[in-house]
Amino acid sequence: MADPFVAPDGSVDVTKVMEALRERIRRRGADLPVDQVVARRLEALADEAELGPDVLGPLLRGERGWNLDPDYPLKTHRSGPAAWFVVGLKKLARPFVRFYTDPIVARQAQINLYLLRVVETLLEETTRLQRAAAERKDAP
Amino acid sequence: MRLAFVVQRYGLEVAGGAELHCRWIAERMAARHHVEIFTTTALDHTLWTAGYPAGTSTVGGLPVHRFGLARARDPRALAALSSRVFAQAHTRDDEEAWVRANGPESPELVAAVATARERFDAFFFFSYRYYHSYFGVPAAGRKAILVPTAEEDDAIELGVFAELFRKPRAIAFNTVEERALIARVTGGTAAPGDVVGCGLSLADAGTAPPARERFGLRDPYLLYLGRIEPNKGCATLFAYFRKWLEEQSPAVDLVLAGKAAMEIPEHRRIRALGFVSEAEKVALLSACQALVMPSPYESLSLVLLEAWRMGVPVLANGRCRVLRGQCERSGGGLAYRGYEEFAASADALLGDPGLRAALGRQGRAYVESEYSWERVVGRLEGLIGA
Repeated sequence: MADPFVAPDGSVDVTKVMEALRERIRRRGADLPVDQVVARRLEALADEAELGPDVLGPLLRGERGWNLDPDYPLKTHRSGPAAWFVVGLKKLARPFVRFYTDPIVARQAQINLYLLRVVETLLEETTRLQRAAAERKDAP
Repeated sequence: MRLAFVVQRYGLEVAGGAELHCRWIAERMAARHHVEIFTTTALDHTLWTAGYPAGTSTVGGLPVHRFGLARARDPRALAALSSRVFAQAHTRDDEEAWVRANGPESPELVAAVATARERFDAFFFFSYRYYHSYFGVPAAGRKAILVPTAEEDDAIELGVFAELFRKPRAIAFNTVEERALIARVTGGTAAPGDVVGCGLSLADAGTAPPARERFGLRDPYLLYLGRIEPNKGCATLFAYFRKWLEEQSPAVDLVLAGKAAMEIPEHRRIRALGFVSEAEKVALLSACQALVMPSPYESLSLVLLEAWRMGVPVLANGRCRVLRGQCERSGGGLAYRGYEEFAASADALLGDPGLRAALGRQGRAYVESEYSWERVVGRLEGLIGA
């Protein structure tokens, strides 16, 4: 059987190979349920925004833990007893800092969840519309 | 002619990036010209800690003048300045402060360039983003030739670098994408230049035992060569590779050869070999199914050219304009965007030996025609006379 990508003279057009692979991906997507297509598109968008897998996984699974964490890490560049002392001081100060920062973080977290829901809904709707348009186009 | 090469680090221990690029070109140019190297005492590229003594020594038969550092890099200070200059309103002084903080800060090196100006016909400065180029190019005046090794990252957008790109006599670009990038940030007012690239100096694999025996590699493998770090796209590569294994269970390993600067996931199909010799690298390349290059920022990618030189196909991150351009011009690799294209391209490569062979053949022909040493040296000599 002839190689699907290699021309009879032994050459390969890599742009055409990638076009063919993208077409395969698109066709495979046409058979998937809408929610899976939405998950894949969200994944691709997050990937483009360079959201790491540690953030992306919980987000796509719908875990609330992906959202903003009001607890911030306590670090110091010092070492030895000075480090213990500085981190201890920061630990003591943190509840007071959070008294001011928690409401802001909570509000941002709400906005994030709202925007995620909006994007998911839009993706669901566009996927359904694209399918309906494709069916109409293919109809005799 | 008398030529000086100015670079942030220099030595046989520095096995990649612009430093290796500089060493290869300096050694080749030395066959026809008098060549000397001006560099710092730094060995470590993250903190610029000194690893060589100051003074003059010989590396590969060339005199190397190493100059001391005013200070090591302070990552906290650099991070604070980076936040300011890359994301907030800032001044030109802030940008110069960023260049100093980025280092390697060696006023002695810049002073030595200024003093040696009359002794040389041209000074080649490698990597635009570092202290030695930013302050050294003006010190060399019209004898400066800049090899920017620029990538599409935040630093290229700084105004001080647009000024720098106007100062040298000429610029030696690595690719047409790099030339377009610098034309954009300077509004088309950069110094004149040419796309030069780099030739290749591959070690003889015959001195190393076959890679499969040496490293116990039984299954076919995709090879990653270079520093293992998130900036090189490795975190994304690991995520893609593991997902691909979960979804399709291909009998293929991901073999990593290079120094790790991040945690490598524990997985029986991910094999980290650590730093390997040049001969081992060639042996690994000759036995792999394909080289994988996930970096989002590249100005040339010598390993890509090395793979093609050996007839090995490439699977590259298509979001990097340079890698995509190189794959399309050479016809030697598939450039993916996102996980689904990565998985589809890897499947196509692994399942189709004819495709692998054709891509490897095309890649080799491209490197032989575009990156031969004769061509590279000829273009560099053309820039000196520009």
